[in-house]
Amino acid sequence: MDLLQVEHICKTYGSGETAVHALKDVSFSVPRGEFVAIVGESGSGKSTLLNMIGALDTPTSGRVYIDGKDTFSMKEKALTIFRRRNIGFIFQAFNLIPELSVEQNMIFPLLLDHRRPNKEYLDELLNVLGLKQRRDHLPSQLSGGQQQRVAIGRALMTRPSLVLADEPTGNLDSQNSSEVLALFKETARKYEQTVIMITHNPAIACTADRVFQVSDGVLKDLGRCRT
Amino acid sequence: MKSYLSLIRISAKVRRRQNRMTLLCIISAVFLVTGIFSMADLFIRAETANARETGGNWHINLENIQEKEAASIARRPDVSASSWFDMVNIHRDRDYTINGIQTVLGGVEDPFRTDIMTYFPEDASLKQGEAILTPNARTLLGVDVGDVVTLDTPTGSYDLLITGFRSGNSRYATDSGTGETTALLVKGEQVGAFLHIKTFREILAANEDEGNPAYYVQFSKKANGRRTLTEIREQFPEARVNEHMILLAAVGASENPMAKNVYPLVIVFCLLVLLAGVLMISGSLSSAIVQRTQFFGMMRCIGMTRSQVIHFVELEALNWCKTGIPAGIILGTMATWFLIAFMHRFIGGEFARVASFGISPVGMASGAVAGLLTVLLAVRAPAKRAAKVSPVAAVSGSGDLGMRKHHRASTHLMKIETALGISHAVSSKKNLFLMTGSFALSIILFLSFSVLVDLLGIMLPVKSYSSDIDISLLENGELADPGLAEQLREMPGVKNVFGRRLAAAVPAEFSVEVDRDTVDILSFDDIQLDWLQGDGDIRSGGDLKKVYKDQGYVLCIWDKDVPLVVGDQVTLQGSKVEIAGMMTSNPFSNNGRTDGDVILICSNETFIRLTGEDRYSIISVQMEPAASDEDAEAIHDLVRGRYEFLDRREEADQSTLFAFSLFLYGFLAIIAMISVLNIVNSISMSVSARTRQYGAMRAVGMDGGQLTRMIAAEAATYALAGCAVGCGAGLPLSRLLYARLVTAHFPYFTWTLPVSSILIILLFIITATLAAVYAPSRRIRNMAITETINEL
Repeated sequence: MDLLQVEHICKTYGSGETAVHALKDVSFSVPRGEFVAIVGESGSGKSTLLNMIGALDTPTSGRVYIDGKDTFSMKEKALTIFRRRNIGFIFQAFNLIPELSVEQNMIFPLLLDHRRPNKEYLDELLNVLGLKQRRDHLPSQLSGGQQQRVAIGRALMTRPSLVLADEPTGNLDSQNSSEVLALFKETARKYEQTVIMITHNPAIACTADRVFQVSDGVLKDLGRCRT
Repeated sequence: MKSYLSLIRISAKVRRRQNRMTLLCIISAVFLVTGIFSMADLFIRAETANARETGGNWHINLENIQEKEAASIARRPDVSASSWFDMVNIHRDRDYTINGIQTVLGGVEDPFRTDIMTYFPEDASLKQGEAILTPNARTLLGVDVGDVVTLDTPTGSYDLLITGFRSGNSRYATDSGTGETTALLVKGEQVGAFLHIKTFREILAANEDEGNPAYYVQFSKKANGRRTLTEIREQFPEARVNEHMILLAAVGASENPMAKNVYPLVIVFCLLVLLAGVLMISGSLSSAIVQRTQFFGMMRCIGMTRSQVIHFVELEALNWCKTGIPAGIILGTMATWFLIAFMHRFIGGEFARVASFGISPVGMASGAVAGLLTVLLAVRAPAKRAAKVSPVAAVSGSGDLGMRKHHRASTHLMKIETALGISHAVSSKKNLFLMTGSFALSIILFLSFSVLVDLLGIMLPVKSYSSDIDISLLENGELADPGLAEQLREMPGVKNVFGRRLAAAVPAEFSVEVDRDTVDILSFDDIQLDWLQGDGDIRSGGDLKKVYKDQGYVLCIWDKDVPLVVGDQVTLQGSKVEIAGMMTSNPFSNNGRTDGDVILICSNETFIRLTGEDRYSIISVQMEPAASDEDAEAIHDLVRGRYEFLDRREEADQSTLFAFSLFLYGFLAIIAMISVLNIVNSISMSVSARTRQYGAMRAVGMDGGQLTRMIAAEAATYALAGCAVGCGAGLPLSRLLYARLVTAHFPYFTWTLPVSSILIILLFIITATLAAVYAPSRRIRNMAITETINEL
């Protein structure tokens, strides 16, 4: 079964003449372990779509199933708990907690779930992300690339089955971008995670298993990048 | 790091600057409550000690009970001391004399001397046939301890051995709330003698005389005052129970209407302070939340549930209590010490009894509880607000909570910066409500407090005519010749001498319908007429100047049952006089009423023409502050035997008024200070929350002046709305309080619009607003534009 199923999602802001159709009848599915890139112009509806998949925002109509579960039928609290156990988020602006160290930032979602972090897994992640020497540093003592790696670490710490990334390399230079991306793909593969990533960069999109394009709220499956 | 809540502790260290304001709010709320309650507690302790000393250490007394019933009360385990007390001849209506001098007799039992009252000499006994005299007996009778005096009564004489003298003098004038004092406060040519109750009863029985015996009861320390009182009341339904109000109130059992009136007032006041604290802390927390929208969005995104967010925010606030509450308590206690030291230094008197470095557990506990309570109440709304932050806020990076614009700023009528400022103020209804609320609350507190200040002025008036010594007629004695006044004026230590003449029940006709056919006429010396205006004793609408000399004009004392007004005419024994002014109240009665009697006041000249009498009924003397007791005694010697001499120097002591005013005004000052702090804090936080926006505006060309005007417009909007709401709610409240507290007890005072208070408020709010705008606008202006844009 596909890990993610999106069925006839529509999102309309406002009503009547001023109605803006951000998403128009979007449907697709993604099998477990696939790495998907979403491309599109500014304002095309990419972020709205990602928010719907992550259950951060509710669609006007349509359904999203993650691991067979209908996310929009869940109650607020159950949804939050489902989200923190099954979905990892990575933001363009990193959004780390400035007063916590690298390690503390990474284990924070686990603490929210009242779980003890698995020491071995944490060490392994820090190792893979190249942050072992920096585990006690504060975000302000890290470079942009390192900060984004911490954010990736945080997203992976709970071993979510789905990772959503909104332009994770948007704030990074090309050198750092490719490093982070390579790492991202490697970890996703290693931990069998499904990744959906928004990007503006066609070169980055081409490294994905599949590419979707959103334009004017309509989604098009471009398949594998041929270039 | 063991739990996600550990972040609070870590965060608190880093965000110290951002949290400073909230912390300050908590500290000031705790400070205020600790200060007030400590002050009140220490005062009450000193006041109860004082009441114990001056009025006696008893809780209730019962009249109209039998010997047997008294004995059953004495046996109660919750009663630690009890005694009969009886007294006759305080009003010189009997013929009990020692050496021809009128003598008040008091009958007491041993516990009264040893446990209840403090004015008896410790080493003196009081067996049958013995007497303890009032201190003035030493000079009036020329006797001392060990002498025997003879008490003459209509049916026989009694020899009494003097074992001691009562201590002190008018300090014990403080009565016990029953309108009567047990200390045998003799006036003028009169002495007092305390006798054993058996001797007392013997004398009364022989003379077929009756006193008004009362049984004084002191509750034991462990007794539940309220229960004991109720039980005694139930047990003796026939008895009249009088309360020693202060002591009984201290054990929480007073049923006195005055005390009962005070309790709800204290509660209302505490609620207002609590509300002020809640608004203040809530406002600052809300701003702190707005500034961290993205943080909470991110927290929600990585899996914090709403209840976890609420828990987080609540604990964060409670975490500040850890430092805020102790700091507030320490500051509040120190402020109390400072105030008390001030009172010791400058007032002394009964305030000297308040412990200098007293620690008040009550004050500290109330401070802590109030702090916790305000924080818990205040944090609810902001915590819910934080929980409502959408996780999308983290993804999109926007989501300025509480700044969603529903209305476009109106730039047609105003300059853009003014329009933007106003729009900022009204864009968030909740914020507007909080800011308006805190402004308004300060105003309401101020207006309510002004009523208390008014009440104080009425209860403890500072009148220019307060005299130190009154010389009045002896019974059937002669009126005082004006020459005596001249003579007094020349004596050392005398500052002012003035007299009044009285013609009672003079037949009169009125130009309007009046329910009386006589008037009382009083003459005032010119100096007394001069004082009327300044003392506020003249109602507006008259012309005081006409009253001087003999111009045919008089003053009339206003009373709700006297229909006379300015311009009405009164015909007295053929001569007609016109009323030129109304006095606010009757200075010669305790409640200020004339009870429908018409009392006219005129100049010496008019009085002499109307009545033909130029001798005084009473001459009042004001002494120089440096005047000695010898100076007063010299005056006494001059009039001894001819006139009644009444030394009122102790009564005229103004320290109580001063202390209470200081306390009330000090309180007002603290409220004002907190308001300013609140206003400054709120504006500052509002600006901080918009730092990025302001940075962007400066980047596109807004200059420093415009920026300041924009912040000022926002501040002014809050201030105006606050003034409107504050006055709108405060004035009716002030009116209600005035009616309840002042007019109910002093009917001749009616509420008027407190114009001066309102002006003070306006001035104050404007100053506070200007002060509030200054610092943040300077901060923003001095910040590099790039810094302001990137700050968030």
